[in-house]
Amino acid sequence: MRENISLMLNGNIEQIPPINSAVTLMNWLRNNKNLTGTKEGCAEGDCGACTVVIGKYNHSLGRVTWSAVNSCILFLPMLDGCSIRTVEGLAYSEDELHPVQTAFIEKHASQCGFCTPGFVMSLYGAWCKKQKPEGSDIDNLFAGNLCRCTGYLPIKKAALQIGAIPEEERDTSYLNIEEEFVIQNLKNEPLSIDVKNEKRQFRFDAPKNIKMVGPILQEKDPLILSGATDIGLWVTKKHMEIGHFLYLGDVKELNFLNENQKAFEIGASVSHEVAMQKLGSHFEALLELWRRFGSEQVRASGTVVGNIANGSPIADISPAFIALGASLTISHLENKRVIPIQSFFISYGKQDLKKGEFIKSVYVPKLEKNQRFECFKISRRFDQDISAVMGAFLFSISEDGFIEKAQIAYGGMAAIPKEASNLSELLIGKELGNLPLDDCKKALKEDFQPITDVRASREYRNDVAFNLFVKACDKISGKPSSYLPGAVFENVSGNSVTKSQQNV
Amino acid sequence: MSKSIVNEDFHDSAKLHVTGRAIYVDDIPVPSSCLHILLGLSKIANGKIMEMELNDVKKMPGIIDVITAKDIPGKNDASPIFGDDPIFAENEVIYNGQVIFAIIAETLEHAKIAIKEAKIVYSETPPIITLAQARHKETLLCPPKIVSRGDFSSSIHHSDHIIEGEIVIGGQEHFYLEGQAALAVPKENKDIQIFVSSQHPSEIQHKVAAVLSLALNNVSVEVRRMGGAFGGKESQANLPACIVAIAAQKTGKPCKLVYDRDDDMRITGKRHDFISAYKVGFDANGVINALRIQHDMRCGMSMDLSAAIAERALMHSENSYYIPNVEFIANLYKTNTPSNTAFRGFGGPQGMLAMERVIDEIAHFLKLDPLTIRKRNFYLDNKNPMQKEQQTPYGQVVKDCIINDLVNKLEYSSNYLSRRKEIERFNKTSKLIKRGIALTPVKFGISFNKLMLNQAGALVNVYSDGSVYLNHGGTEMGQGLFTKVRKIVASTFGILSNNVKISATDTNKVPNTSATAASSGTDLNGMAAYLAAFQIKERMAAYLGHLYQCESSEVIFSRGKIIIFDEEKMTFSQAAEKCWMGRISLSSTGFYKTPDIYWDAEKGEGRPFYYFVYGAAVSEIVIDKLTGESRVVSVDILHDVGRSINPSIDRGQIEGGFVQGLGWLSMEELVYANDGTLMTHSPATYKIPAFSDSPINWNVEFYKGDGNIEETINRSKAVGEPPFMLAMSVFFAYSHALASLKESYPSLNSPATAEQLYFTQF
Ligand SMILES: Cc1cc2nc3c(=O)[nH]c(=O)nc-3n(C[C@@H](O)[C@@H](O)[C@H](O)COP(=O)(O)OP(=O)(O)OC[C@H]3O[C@@H](n4cnc5c(N)ncnc54)[C@H](O)[C@@H]3O)c2cc1C
Ligand code: FES
Ligand code: FES
Repeated sequence: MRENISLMLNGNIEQIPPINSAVTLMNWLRNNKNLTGTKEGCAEGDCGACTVVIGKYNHSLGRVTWSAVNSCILFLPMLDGCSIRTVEGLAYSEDELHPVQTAFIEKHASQCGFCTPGFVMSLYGAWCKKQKPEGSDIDNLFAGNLCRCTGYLPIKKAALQIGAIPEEERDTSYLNIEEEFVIQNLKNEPLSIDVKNEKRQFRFDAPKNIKMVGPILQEKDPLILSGATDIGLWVTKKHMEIGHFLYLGDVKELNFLNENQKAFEIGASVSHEVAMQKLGSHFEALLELWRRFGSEQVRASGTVVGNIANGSPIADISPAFIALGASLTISHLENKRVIPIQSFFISYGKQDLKKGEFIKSVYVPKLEKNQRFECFKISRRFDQDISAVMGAFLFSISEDGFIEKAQIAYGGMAAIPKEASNLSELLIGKELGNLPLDDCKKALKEDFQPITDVRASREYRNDVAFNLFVKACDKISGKPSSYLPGAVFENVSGNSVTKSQQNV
Repeated sequence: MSKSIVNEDFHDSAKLHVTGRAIYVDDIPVPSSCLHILLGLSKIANGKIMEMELNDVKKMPGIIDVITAKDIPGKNDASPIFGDDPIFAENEVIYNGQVIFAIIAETLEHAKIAIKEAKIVYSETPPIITLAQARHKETLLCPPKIVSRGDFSSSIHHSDHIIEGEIVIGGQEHFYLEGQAALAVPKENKDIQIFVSSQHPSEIQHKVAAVLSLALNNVSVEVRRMGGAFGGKESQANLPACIVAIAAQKTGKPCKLVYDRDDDMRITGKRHDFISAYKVGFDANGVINALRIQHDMRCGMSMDLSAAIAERALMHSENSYYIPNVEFIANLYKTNTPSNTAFRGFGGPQGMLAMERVIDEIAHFLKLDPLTIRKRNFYLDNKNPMQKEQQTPYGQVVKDCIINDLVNKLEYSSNYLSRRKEIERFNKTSKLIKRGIALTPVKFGISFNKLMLNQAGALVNVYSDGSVYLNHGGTEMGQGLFTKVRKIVASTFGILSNNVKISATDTNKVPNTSATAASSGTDLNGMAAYLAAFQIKERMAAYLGHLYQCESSEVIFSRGKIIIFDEEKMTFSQAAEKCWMGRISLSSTGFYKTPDIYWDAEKGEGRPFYYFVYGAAVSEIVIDKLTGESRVVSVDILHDVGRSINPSIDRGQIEGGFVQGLGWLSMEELVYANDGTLMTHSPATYKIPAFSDSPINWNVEFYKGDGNIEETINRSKAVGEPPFMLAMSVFFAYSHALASLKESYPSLNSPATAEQLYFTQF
């Protein structure tokens, strides 16, 4: 077992003696390393001012991956074995800036400058991934970075300037030594921190082998930690003191994403980013849902299983997977059990997970030929927002257009992500193009009694939940008036998009 | 790889921004003895503190001290004017989120653990949170403010038509990316130095001196830059500065306080929300004869700057329209919520939005294009021979009006008319998707309402190597003030901007300054700096003229050289050295006050504004009827910046202001619970525009005119606030789209969130 965290920071190797394991990467950079270019704008993953780029080994892809992440909600020990680059580490010298930095200057993309390091690092993340930002990619790239000064247009221009640099002119020399470091460190003993500090105990276990997970869980009852996009906020916002973390991010056997003809199986430590790429090509509607899920930074850190495990009624993946008929594999030492995903959610804050158990994977069946799937998310802001209502719809349709089976689920409508069982049942045998809408509305009313909160009123939730159903049916039956939220806006503005690109 | 770059127009700190080396208050290197402060906030909105037990907090590891109102040597007040903003609540609590105590700790982590040990027992009184509650209890902070002309009550009866209505206008959180931050460093002999993220260093100096019972010359305040401010650091920075000062004086150590996002949003004031009720009389052509608007404003728990904000709201309630008989009234209501404060536009946006609503509803009533109604009511342009010195309701002659010409040009360049027709055709057939378009104008008055604030000072030093040092009273919050003023000084000496060092605003260098606000930063400080540089240049020219036996007016400063009779005599550096050897003073202060403005507060009349800024925007939006979701598809802006000192910076202000305005009117919503808890206290729930909310297609042009008719620096015009209001075009484009969904007028309230848009269709 190893107690020192080993990581690379701006190309230099750091060996960090055991510290309070709830220290965030951002605070460590700012307070311990005096790297104050990484800014705090919210400490909850919403503003992107703290964005840094990390290189981490991804077992499911078999290589080092680069991502922009929010350092404010990552705990430092999670970075063990990773390479980190901050805004201070980008320039080649005092006078020779990185092209990403130069682009921001030349396009007048900073005003107060407080958001700028985060934007620069998000763009540098794309650079590391060899992406060439253009068009709506740029919206996605920066969905997790807020700027209150510029109105974003000059930042878009900076990104386009980078997108226009040809492959052969792109220097990625930093990455080689960093990747070498990350791969070298795979051989390290697993990290296990156990320190006492002012009468408080801090533990951080990062097993590399699945066999070690069960025993630690069984003996010590730690908090399971994956991407920390939920847990990070418990610490930074609720000021929760967590004595013991069991981190799953280094367990090789949990980082897998299998696909066969029938289904996908997503391991516990697979990020949204990776899952989105794989599943998105099969489920078109999921691709758009994931595009609007958090931001690049959140999708890079957060895991699919974590989104389900937290049991949140407003988690986006859960209703979608309920509709798709997914199931969970839950491990306990040598044993495992498989349950349908909806039975995992018992009541608010209560899931079907006993002491010593953890979710190993989620199994998502593929669509059969006669099946159609749609899902829509409603939030106050289009990008990077939590759903007020999220509706997911799976229909099995006969050749003559009758519904053989419907699985409909909603988020934001009850205390748990929940199936609309009355509505789903009512639809069996009905003709898709000729539905008894009033009855459907009634059924949905029986299924859900939503509440009013900051995101939406009860009345809005009721109305919109039904309208999303209408929207899904319209779309599936190919009605002329039907449309997709994202796509239609692009259609309407089709000419405009090209015009604005000319301007830029 | 690329080389470093030099361009006159780039933001002076751009390179520091992109390399992460720009220093904000929380980044200032501090000694390890520096202590950190965490605030204890009230959990109720109204009531008495019955018991406060903080000893257990003090006993926790890493805690140095806990301070409360009792620890204040001087006055317990952080207010800008009226003495009604306690630093720490004493006995009485007046809003949820009010500061009660401050923990001084070795680290913030220590303080966060210790704060859980604080025990406060309150006796609660039902709070007044909403405007409706405030109206019911008649909690007026001061007598109503009024701007009027003619006789509204009798003249309205002569109108062909009368409409009455009301619009709810939501507030807005500043959401500067950098939270409030202050650092105090104790010096010898009771002196204290404050580093703070503030738009108003002199006010910080005053407040800190009063709190510590010191003279002003004991307190120095330095502001290098802010990570955004937008008015939110005009008076709101006083509180953290006072607290660090008290703590530093008590402990004898440097003390730092940085609000985290949630505390910042709970403690600080925001843009005022309004309910504006109107009654308007007009003829069959839509020409307005009489208008009454009553603005009820939620001011929060104290005056702060509300009176001045109310006045500006009233002075902008007629926007660009000449209306013979008006009565504009503002009621300032006290509520148990944070004290609302300055925010880009300073009441102007709310006043204008109400006016534009009136126009929009008249157009709907007469079944005419709102633009037609707008045009029929505009002030006449200054070039119009019919212009007979039209006055605003507060008696200022509108002598620089260009709104007709500007709007005509924009209408033409944006293809407004044919697009509107096309959209209406589209809406007839499209069942679920509705589109809308609107053109709205802006006329915004420049100068502080308070006469004394319209002054500025600067200091310029030329060193013997020809490098120049510049200091002035304005603060840099991202608006590019430093870059502009530096260029003004550089071009006075005929040298490049990067030879001029612009330094942190510092009360020791330039005293008695005004807040950097009201868009006036460049007008005031740019002129003061110019006057300082000009005096030095005159002295240098006189001396060099003497050496070369010519008139000083024949000594030309250009491209870093001194040119006499077309011949390069020496470089600017050599000239500086020569002058120094010749014992010429190379340092000067400059002082400027805005000429020609006056205000009779008794009568509510005068010329409060030196000039007006004009602009207009066309926005096109699309709405999904089923959900109320919307997108801004296209925006065309034509805006008047006079003769721009820095076009890139001015463009940045226009674009940034527009998107901020769009956020205010479309998605930013402050939700208070019944007990006064701010429910939307972080970006998880309070949504400012994100990247993809920026308009998809966006044209921004400067109006090509003759420059400012007043003698401003370079004949430029202020640009900070006015573009914010261009976003009204988005709001009325929504209204246009909604009008296709119902017969009656769609009385849309702001912010036009998806939910708001959805329900307004019924
Ligand atoms: C800025 C921001 C935006 C976001 N936007 C969205 C959004 O649009 N839609 C949305 O749905 N969510 C959103 N989220 C939340 C989302 O990121 C998380 O729910 C995420 O998917 C959780 O995964 P994680 O790996 O980060 O989990 P963690 O935070 O590490 O853990 C979450 C919970 O799951 C438990 N857990 C994790 N893995 C396992 C396991 N294998 N077995 C048992 N228990 C486990 C943990 O103990 C913990 O209780 C957002 C979060 C942030 C910060
Ligand atoms: S500080 Fe806002 S995302 Fe990290
Ligand atoms: S430049 Fe100020 S927040 Fe982006």
